[in-house]
Amino acid sequence: MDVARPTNSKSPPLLDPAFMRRLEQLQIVSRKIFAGKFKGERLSRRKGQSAEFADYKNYTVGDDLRFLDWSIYARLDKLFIKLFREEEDLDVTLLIDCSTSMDWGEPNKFWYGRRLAAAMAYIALGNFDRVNLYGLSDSIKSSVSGLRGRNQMHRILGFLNGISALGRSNLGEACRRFAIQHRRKGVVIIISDFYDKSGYEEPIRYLLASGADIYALQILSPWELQPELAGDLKLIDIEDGDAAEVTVTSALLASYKKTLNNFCQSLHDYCTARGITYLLTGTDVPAERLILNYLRSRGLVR
Amino acid sequence: MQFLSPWYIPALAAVLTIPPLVIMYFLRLRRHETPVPTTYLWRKVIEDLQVNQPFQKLRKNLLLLLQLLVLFAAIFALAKPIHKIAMSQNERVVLLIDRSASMTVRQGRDSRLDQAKQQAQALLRGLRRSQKAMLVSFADTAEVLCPFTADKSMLAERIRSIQPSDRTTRLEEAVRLAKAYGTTLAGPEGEGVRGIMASTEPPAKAIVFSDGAISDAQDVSVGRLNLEYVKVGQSDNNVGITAIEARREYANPAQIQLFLRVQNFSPKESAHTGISIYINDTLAAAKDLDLPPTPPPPSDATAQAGSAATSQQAERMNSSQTVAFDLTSTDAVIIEARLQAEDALRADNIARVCLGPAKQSRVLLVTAGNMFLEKVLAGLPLRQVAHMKPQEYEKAGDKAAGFDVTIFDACAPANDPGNGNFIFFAAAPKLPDFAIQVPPKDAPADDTWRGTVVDFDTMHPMMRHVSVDEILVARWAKLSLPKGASVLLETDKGPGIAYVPQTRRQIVLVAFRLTDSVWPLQVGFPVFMYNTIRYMTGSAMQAERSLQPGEVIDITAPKDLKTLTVIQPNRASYKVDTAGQGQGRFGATEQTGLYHVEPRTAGVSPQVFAVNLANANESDIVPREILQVGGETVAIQENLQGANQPIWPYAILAALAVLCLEWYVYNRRVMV
Repeated sequence: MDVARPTNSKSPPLLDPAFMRRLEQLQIVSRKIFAGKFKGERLSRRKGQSAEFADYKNYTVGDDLRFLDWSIYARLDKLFIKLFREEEDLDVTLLIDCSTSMDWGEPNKFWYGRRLAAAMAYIALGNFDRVNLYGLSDSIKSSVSGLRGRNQMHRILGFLNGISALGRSNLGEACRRFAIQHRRKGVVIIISDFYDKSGYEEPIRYLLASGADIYALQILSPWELQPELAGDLKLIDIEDGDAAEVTVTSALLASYKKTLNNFCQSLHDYCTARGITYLLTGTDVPAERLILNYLRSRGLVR
Repeated sequence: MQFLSPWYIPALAAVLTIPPLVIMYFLRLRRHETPVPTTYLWRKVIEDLQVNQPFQKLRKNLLLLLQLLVLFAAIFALAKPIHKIAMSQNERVVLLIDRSASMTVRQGRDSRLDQAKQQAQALLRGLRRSQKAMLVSFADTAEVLCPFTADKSMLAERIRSIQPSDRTTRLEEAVRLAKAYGTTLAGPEGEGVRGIMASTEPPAKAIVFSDGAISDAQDVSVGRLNLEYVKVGQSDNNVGITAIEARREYANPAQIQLFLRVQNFSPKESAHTGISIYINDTLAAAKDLDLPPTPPPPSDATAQAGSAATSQQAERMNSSQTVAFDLTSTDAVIIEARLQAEDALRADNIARVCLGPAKQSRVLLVTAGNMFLEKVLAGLPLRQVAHMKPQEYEKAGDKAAGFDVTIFDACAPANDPGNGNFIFFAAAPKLPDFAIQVPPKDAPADDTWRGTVVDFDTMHPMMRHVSVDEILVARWAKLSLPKGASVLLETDKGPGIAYVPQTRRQIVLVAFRLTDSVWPLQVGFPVFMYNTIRYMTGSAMQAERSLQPGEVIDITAPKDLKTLTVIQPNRASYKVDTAGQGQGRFGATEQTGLYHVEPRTAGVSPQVFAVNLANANESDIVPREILQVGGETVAIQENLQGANQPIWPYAILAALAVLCLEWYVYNRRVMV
């Protein structure tokens, strides 16, 4: 079974040039419009200076004469100010599950998750969005926040290469801390296998409380989807060392699949009911395809 | 189902294999530790399965069970199980069980009869439920113990009830019974033959359980009967007395000549034994004997055919040894000959003979006057010769009784002459079936009365040393005789001299007047008279007192005695009803030994008699490998319960199948 656990040292780089080129044209979309901190490339609820026309308003003293609509004034002999939509940046937060259970599978789930995170961060940075990265296990293990601009990409990759999947899952506690610590609204993408013995409801509730636009990416390895086990086994949980004795039969495997489906389906239902976009992916799906096809169709990227 | 291997082989295999398998299985259950990302889902799965599957425990051990099953099948195969298929699938079976003397031979703990019974029971067990069988036991006579029935428990019970006897073996009656029941006629079950009912069933199979010592095997006609032979017993040594005869010397009745024939029936070893003669339980004589072995009976079927068989049989008889003793006693004696050797068959180691007291004969001559007879009788060694005229004889009453032989010359008693020995010259008693036509005294010797001798029994003791050439007769009387008469001299006109043995009566008839012949002038005539008187009195003295087992004896008793008691050799007593006729018949002479008749009053005769095996055929206890019946070799039935069908290949196949199933089950749990 160890073959299903490739070591991190041998894993390929998180991003390669070809992939990065394809990511250039994408941007992360929020279904909600949030107030940005800095000027960015995203429309804001605030009116401001941009190329996109929003409305007219009567001229009042003190308005910038540069925004007077002279052609209206010529026709109606009234002063109107053209209002433009303000373009602001977006707060993109990537939560990466760093529990030991992520370090599994071929391709490795943790590597896959970091690759996704790197790709999403690259997209966000390309659009002058603020990128925050959090590594979660039983609490916030490490974080980097407020990164803006392409030139910050090396920090992101440095952060992602620096974290490791060592720790017990307690997403609930980790998300509670995140909700306290991270007050800005924006897009929150949580990348995890959601293997939390205390349940997935609590962390999602905490995330929802922040009012962010939440995306849940569940990553499972192909082995987890179709486990190749045989014989009488003592299954050891790599995370907490818990042991479960099973005699693997086809019935047991069928039952496992059914349980897994139920688990994913209930997670899906829970997320959908709360306006969270949920996506399940196996690590055998290339990250390019996931981002360029699936995430596009889900509306996370454009 | 039987097992060829001794029990400890499969037991050892089981001990060596099963515990290690179970131990290995439990060792194997130390589960392989496998890391998984989380046991979160697996726990749920286990809970679900435990809730949903009631046979989870069993499924866990299914592989162990299957492996144990494979082992059991292999061990079962190791035990070499065989299945015995019912031998005669569609036939009715007649079991013919020999209970003759040779079957009492003990080999080990069981006698041959016990072995035959066991084999018959085994055969019975091999029969199908609906298959009918019939049980006949036979010795010199046969008895239907159970007619055709499918009731195996009754048959088994009847087989158990068969008692040994010291009788001789005759198959003919048994085969006749089997044929009667088994081929053409079939009565309703349990009732035997009743009415004429053509049987549509195929002829029954008759199975003879015997050692093959069957005296009349060549005379039996098997017919449609499907006869098979089950050989019972193994070869064993036996020395036996095959014949005993004692007689008082005619001239000196105190002298007793005892003849014994002793044979060693061992096929290889010669025997050294001693024979002791006891007179009334007192040792009287003894002799050592060296007996050569008897060549084994021909075992090859081809050797049986024709003269070869006869000569071989003769050779077998020649290996016997005749021993003679001269003893002296005037009283009534019981002479007992004992062989020293203890051997398998006891019945032939002791032979007894009872002799009446020594006496010389008293002869009554009833004649109008015959010089020849008077002269001849005067010259014979007799105690008394009385003379009577025919008229005097009729009036004499009791005075005429008490003679050993009464001679009627050209006259006959007016009434039934009663018991005794009688010689008639040119006359016949007034008894049923006797008739004589005597030529008139002056009849010419023409073709009506003249005759030619056509047959002459030179072998008969009465005719010993009598020359037929001397019997020249001018006029023959025409004689007709009842059944059972033996004709000693036959002419073209009918019997010339005849001997008619009847119950307690012997009659000799001579069909010519002595005056019509030159015979009285010849040497042969006194010789004939000597022979005849000696034969009749001699046989009367001893013939009835030495019997073969199963033979019937007539016991005379006074008319006022209603019942007699016969004490058998085993002290059992047996009532004989004389029905006031002065005579009783006793047939329960199953055992060899001395039989005493009570009450021991005068007029009861015999008071003691001996039953001897005295049969070379029975004493020859070497079982015959083949049985020849009616000139044909009887098929040997070896597998009483039918052919042995080995089962172990099926067990191996089953083991293989279970192994495949085990493999499949093992793999199925892997298959997704």
